[in-house]
Parts: sequence; structure tokens; C-alpha cells
Amino acid sequence: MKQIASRITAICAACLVLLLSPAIAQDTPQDDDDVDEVVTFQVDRLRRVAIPEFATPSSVNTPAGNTASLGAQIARVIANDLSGSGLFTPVGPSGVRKIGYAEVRAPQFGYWRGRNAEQLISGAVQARSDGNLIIGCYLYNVNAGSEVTRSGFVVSPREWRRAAHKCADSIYSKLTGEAPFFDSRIAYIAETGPKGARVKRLAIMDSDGANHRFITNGQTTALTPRFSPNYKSILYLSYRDGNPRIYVYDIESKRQRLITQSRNPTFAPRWSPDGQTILYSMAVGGNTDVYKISARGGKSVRLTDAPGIDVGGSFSPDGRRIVFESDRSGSQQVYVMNSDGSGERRISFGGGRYATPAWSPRGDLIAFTRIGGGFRVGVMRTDGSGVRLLTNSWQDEAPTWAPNGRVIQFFRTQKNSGKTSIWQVDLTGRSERKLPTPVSGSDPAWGPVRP
Amino acid sequence: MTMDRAELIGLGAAIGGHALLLALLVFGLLGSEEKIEERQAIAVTLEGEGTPLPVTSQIGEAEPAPEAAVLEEAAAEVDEAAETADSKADEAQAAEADAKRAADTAKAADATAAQKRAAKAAAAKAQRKRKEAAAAEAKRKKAAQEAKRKRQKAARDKTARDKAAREKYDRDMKKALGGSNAPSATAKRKAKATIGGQIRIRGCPPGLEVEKIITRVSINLNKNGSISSLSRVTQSGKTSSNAPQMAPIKRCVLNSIRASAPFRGLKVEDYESWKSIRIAFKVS
Repeated sequence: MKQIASRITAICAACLVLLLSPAIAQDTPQDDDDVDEVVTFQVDRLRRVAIPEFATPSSVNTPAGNTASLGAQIARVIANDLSGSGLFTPVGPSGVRKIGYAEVRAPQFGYWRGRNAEQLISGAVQARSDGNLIIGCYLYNVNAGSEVTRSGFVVSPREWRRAAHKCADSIYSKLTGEAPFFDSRIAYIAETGPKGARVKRLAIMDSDGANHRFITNGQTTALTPRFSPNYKSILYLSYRDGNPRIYVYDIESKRQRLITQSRNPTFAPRWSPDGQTILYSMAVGGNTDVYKISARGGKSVRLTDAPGIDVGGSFSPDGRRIVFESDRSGSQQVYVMNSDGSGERRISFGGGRYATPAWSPRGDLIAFTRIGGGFRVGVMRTDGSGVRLLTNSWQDEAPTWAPNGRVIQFFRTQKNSGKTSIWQVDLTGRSERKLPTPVSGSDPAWGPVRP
Repeated sequence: MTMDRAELIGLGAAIGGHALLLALLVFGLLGSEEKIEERQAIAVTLEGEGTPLPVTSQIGEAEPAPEAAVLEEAAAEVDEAAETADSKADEAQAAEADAKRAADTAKAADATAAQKRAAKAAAAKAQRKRKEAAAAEAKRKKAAQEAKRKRQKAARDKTARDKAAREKYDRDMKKALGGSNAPSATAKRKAKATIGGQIRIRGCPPGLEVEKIITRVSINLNKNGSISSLSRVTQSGKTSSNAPQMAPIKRCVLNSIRASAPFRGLKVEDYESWKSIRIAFKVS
């Protein structure tokens, strides 16, 4: 009986297989066409991108210089942006044949093929009767002989650099798939003077170091600046009255105000993604906790209450979570909690200490400074897995994300001189470069892409 | 509730019938298992000895041989034409003899007018018969030529059929022995390697986890190695980190394939094997 039962069971299973067989057959490769020949290839900086000077139909003088000169400068800004991203090694504009205005929209593909160019960026600058400039740029696939993308802008002459950044952004996005970030600004602390008597001033500049401007005069020490999402104001830490406290500086009116009236030290300020809330840390009687307050003022809300030093990190892009550092376990580690302070959870467990966490604008990663055998900048997933260190110098710290979440800025301190400089690295860790600043720089903070 | 005798008999019959059916099913299933074993034995024979059992019946020995019928038909036509020509020639010869005899009679015996008319008629008949004989001969020659042409065509058809049968036999043999049913899997693999070795992927930007992206493309080729089209472009390995690179990598792979064509070193006689190939592209 048992044998019969087992046979019936086997036959039922066979029937089930028969019933399902059409579905199985559909998922089964039908012929050897599905046996892959695999061609592997390497990815590298795009090196065959030619950028001749931008052409002009006729050279016209403008407050920013004549249009012919602007054409050359715009091409240089684009080449510099692309090169600085770590993903391109463009050729030009110097050493590349100048093109005529008619050639901008009708490239001589044969010529560029002969120069081994695979992409061609061409453009033109034209003065309008209303005093503005039309700046247009084109990206061509040389081998295919076709246009890939184009963009055009009407700007006042003093805004020509922004148009160049926008052109570079459109080309960068098209070729890499990443979101743009060149047309953005950076706030940082400009440092001058000897090691023991440093003067630290608040300063701002474009993402490529241009349009540099000091905000404070250095009479009081300034630290940790943060651009508001609309670029209208900057949060920063000032020792104005001898105590470290957080101020909001309005760029247009050049006025500043305290975010809280407390006499306790406040520091580590950060905007929420919508600019409506400010996150900060406050030390009260040897215990430091994370607080938040409305950007318009009002009552602060305490988010952490564990004994020890909890220092506010940053909001997730959706504003629903906060990453911060705490030494409650005995050493600095990274924790995540909900924006109302609930659900605190430690996410870093590797060797060494983890500090200054910053949530990526894309939401997928958290940047940090790892302390232990030096200071190094790295990234981890939001659950703490996938830790990768991106730099390997004596002292790299305080990461800040590019608006596209694919490049990180930080500052590097030289071992003996203590001189600081601002650097950036892409997420592969392969492309690292120093940002040009007129003086030493630290505490960089990257703002969003400008509208 | 009680049942009468008829209902009890009916119920008993129904129960008995179901029991019998179940028994039959069970034994029937046992029989199925034995059949499976037999089929497995056949499979072992095929793999071990290479006996082309499943294919010999498909090669076509039992198929009609159309060329034989054609040849018979052609021969019959020739024979008929020859027969016609022969009989016409005989008739012409006989008419010729009659006409000669009539003419001789008319000459020799100082023939009467009636005899002269008869001789003239005989001569006309002989001429008509000669013409018919010539026409019949021409028809015979034509039939012979037609038969020759049909024989040649039949021979060509037979050669083609033999070739197709041989190829089919090879395919079936490969299939029976566990090989591919493709026209030539080896040629296809070689062609894939040849083409893959000539494709240089350039212009793909770096990015996080791009090494997880696999792009598969069907490359459809002309006989001269140029690309007729690229189709069935699929990608796998997408993660939250490499999602932005999916489109640029697809674009640079397709551009690079196009830039690498035309492909060299492909045998035209194996065109069926490589006219459409599928290749995967992956960051190393």
C-alpha cells in the first residue's frame, strides 16, 4: 500500500511537472545563441573629447570682454570642469584648430576623425542687441557623425561662466549618466597666518574656485559653513562673543543672527533638505546632544538624550532620517535615527572611529571620516555595509557631497606645516584633485545646483 | 432511510466499478514506469554506440524518387516520337515505291490518260509522306533533346537532395548524440570569437559598480562582414549605484560595435552560422 501511495505521489508530481512544462520551456534557452561570447572592456577617463574655442559670428565688445575672447574662455571653463570631474581628459581648446561660426552646427567630422576625436564639443557666443549673450553648445559623436545633445542660454555678460558650467553639466550628464553639479557653489573656511595664530574667515566660491569672495573679515574665528538650499544664507559657527555659537548669515543683506539665544556652546549646524529646519548640537553640562529648530526661529527640539557626545550629522535627502556620530559606545561611531529622534541605531562597526557623517544627496551612501592610523575619508551604505575608504593621506576629513552625490570634497592637512587645502575625489577613489583657493582652505560645504 | 434491493445492487456495482478502475489505474501506472525504462535504454544506446535510430527513418529512403518517373516519362516520349517517325518514314518509302511503279507503268506501256493521272497522284502522295516523315524525324530529335534536358535536371535535383539529406543526417546525428541542432555550432562559436576579438569598446565612463552591468547585443551581419542591424539589446546587473551608467554604457557599446565593423576573417560558406550572433559585453 505504501508502495502504491508513493507511486501515486510520484505520478502526481510528474503530472504537475507536465502542467508546468510550458512555463519552464519558455524560460529555457532555445539554442546555442544564448551561450554568451563575452567581450570584456575597461572603463577609463574619456580622452578623445575635442573642444575647440567657441566661435562667434562677429566679435562684439561686452562688459565681460569681446565675444571672440569669451568664446575661448568658455571653452576653457568647460574643459576644466570636465577634467576636474575625474572622468574626462579633454583635448583643447589650446592646440585644437579654431572653427568658424558655420562649423558649429555643421562639423567637419572627417577632420575630427583624422584627429582621433570620438566626441566633439563645439559652440558659439553671440551678442544680442539687448546687451545679453546667447551661448550655445553642441556635443557630437564624431564616428557616427551625429549630434548627441545641445543646450543654449541667454545670460548677461557677467554670467558667462554660469552658462559655461551649464554647458559642461549637460555634456557631463549625457556622457556619464550622472546628475549635473558644475553650476554650484562652495562655502569654506579660508585660513591665513601662522600655525599657532590662524585667522579663519568664511568664504564662498564657484565649484571651480572662480568668483571667490570672503564673507567675514577674520576678527572672529569662523567654522563649518553650510549653504542654505536656496543659496540665500549660510549657517556657520562663530566665536564672535568668545563662545562657539551658530549664526545664520544672509548673503544679500550681509546681516547675521543667532539661531538660539542659549549661552551654551552650539556647533555642527546643518540644513534640512527643504531649508525649513536646522540641525545642530549643543553642549550642556558636559553632555552634548543633537537638536533641531525651525529656520524661522522658535523652540528647539532635543533629539538625543544618551550620555556622552552626540554630534549632529545630516538629514537623508527625504528629510525623514538623520545620521549622526556618538561616543556612547566608548568611541565615536555612526548612528542613524528618525528625524523625530526615535529609532536610534548604530551602523558603523569596523575598526577605528567614525566621525563627521554626511548623507549623500542621492540617498544611497553616507560619507565619513575614519580615525585610526590617520584620518581618511570614505563611504558606506546607509545600513553601514560596504565601507570603502577613498583617500589615503595623513589627515583627510570633513567630507561634503557634490549635489549629484558622485563627488566628495574634504580638506587635507599637511603633516608638519598644518597647512590645509580643499580636495575632491570621485566615488571610485581614482580621481583626486586639489581645488584652487587663494589661501589655505578647510571645512568645505557644497551647495546644490543653481536653478 | 432505507434502500430497496435494486438500489443496493446499484450501489454495490458502483463501488465495485470504482475499485476496479482504481486497480486499473495503479497497474496502468506501473506499466508507465516500465515504458520510461525502455526509453532510457534507447537513449543509452544512442549515446554509447551512436546508432542513428531516430534519424534514419527521417533521411528519406522511403521517399519517392521523382527523377525516375521523369526519366521514364521522357524515354516514353522519345520512344513514341521515334515510333511515329519510323512509321512515317515507312509510309513515305512505300508511297515512293508506289509512285515509282505507277510512273514506270505509265512510261513503259504508253499509258492512258487515266494511268497518267494515277501516276501523278501517286507522286503527290509520296511527296506528302516524305514531308510527314521529315516532321516526325524533327519531333523525334526534339523529344530526344527534351529527354536529355530532363535527365540532366533530374541529376541536378538528385545531387541537391542528396546534399540536403546528408546535412539533415549530420544535424540529426548531432542532435541524437547530444550536440546542437544548429547548422554548425562550431562555426558559430568560431565566428563569435572572431567578431568579439575585433570589437574594441571605447568611451564608456567609469562609475560605481559598473562591472556588474552586462550588455547583450544581437549583431546581424551581411555576407561582407558589415552590420545590417543591431537588435535585442538587453542589460542586466543594475544596482542603485550603477543605474545612471546603464544608458551611457549601452550607448558606448553600440557605438563601439558599429565603429569596429566591418568584421574580417569570416568564412562566407559559414554565413548561415554567423549572420546573426549574440555577444555579451562586460566591464573587466
